[in-house]
Amino acid sequence: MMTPTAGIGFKAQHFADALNACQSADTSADGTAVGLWFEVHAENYMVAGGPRLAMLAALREAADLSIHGVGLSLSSPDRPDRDHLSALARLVGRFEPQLVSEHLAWSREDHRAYPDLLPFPRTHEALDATCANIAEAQDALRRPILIENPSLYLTITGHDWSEPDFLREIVRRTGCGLLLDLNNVHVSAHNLGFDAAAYIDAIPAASVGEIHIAGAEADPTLDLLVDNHGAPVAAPVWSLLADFVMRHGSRPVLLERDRDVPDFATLMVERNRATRLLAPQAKVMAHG
Amino acid sequence: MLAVETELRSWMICGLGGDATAHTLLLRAPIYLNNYRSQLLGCLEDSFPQTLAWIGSHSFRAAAARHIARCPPSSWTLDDYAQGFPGALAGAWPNDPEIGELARLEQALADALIAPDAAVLTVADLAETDWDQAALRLAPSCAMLDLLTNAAEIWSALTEGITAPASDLGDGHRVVLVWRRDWTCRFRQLEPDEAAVLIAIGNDGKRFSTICEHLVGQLGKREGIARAGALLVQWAQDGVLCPP
Repeated sequence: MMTPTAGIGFKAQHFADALNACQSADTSADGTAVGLWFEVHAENYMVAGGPRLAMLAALREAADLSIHGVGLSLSSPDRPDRDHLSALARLVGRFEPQLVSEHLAWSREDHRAYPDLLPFPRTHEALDATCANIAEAQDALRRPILIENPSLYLTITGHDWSEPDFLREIVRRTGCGLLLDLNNVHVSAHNLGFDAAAYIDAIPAASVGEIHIAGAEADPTLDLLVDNHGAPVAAPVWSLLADFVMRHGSRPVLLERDRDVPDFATLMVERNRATRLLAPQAKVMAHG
Repeated sequence: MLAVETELRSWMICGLGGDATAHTLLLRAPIYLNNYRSQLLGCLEDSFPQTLAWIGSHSFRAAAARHIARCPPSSWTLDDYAQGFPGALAGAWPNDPEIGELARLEQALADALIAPDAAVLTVADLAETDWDQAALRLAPSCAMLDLLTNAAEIWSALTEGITAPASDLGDGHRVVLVWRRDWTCRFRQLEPDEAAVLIAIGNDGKRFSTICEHLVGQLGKREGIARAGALLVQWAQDGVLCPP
């Protein structure tokens, strides 16, 4: 179980500061690091040994942890790669994170892998394949996982399901939860021309076990917002978070930053803004 | 589903061409092509920083672009994508072998960083071991590189930010031992006799007594035993052997 506080996507260069923040949180005069937790990308830690795993072990001793997969390709027609899933199961078994999550996307096809999270038509066939793959992953991991809504750049035709309905049906069939990435909603709404608030209204809020917030970058050439996690959280995303918390209560909120990563103290300022939004509504969620 | 996957794959692997711009589905697909290429380029730049510094950004990016076009990734981890690049660089610059060797060294250091953890023989262990019976095995992070050039010296200079020496073929091949001690990867060039012994240990393990016999056969009894003892102490200080 993860308490509904705010965490930060862990970066190795922040290790000492992150550990220090956790260890001093109990005695911190202003309590700014209280409830601090971390999320890591699973694939970066599927290694045999060395400092990555040692850092993660130390961090896990000090804080709650979420393991976030980026490559299981759960919306591929193919089953999850057996070696990949086994490696994820070993990682989850060793570190026993409070949360495990993956994406509604595909990144593997015909023995080729793509370092991206790719879109697909939400057909009945895709729903069956996605649910079967989530079920297989949950069986291997022996726990429910959270599925993250994608950031989209293309208007694809051939959908049988809206995205909120697709997510709702996945939850119903597999028992998984949802990772609501508010930056992805913001980016997709801009790129595809839908209303972000209406999208959030349509997803099953009770199934949301974690929220992501991040910054995006504008690509004026393609007239797109790009979900590159390379900037501070944008004002519309803060508004979506405040609105969700006010209407549905607090969830664990994760600040993502993967490009132009600032120092740890700067991230903590942004993370603590999320903490202040959560504080009045804090209540423990049962997910994870 | 498959149609979309095929279209996107075609764009990512082949890029923009023909009448694809007319396809309404893919009017914004360059975002995926851009991300695909930038992720792989970023992986290569992060994996080979000193090789990049040695040949310059322009040459490195051109070589990376050719490699990305020829070798799509097949693994779920980008850690694996860097593996083929040293060979590609060696093939691209056959008359500048230090380029491929710099990349091989950087790849070996990266491999050592994620090698299995293992207890290692320490100097404190030496006095408590029955060396007549003890079998020697290399720690799992150890690898030996057979190099033709002074790539290791170039790498060190680039890393320290000092003027790198010119590429030098020298007068024969050089063996460099790469390993990880605690959280730090290290390497050093081996003397020929040490390289021969460590390669033998690395292949199938060797009793220390066999190492002594080998060195006695080469150097004579007194010098051979002294050399074996000195090497053992060096290996214990480096942390490159598993405890017997």
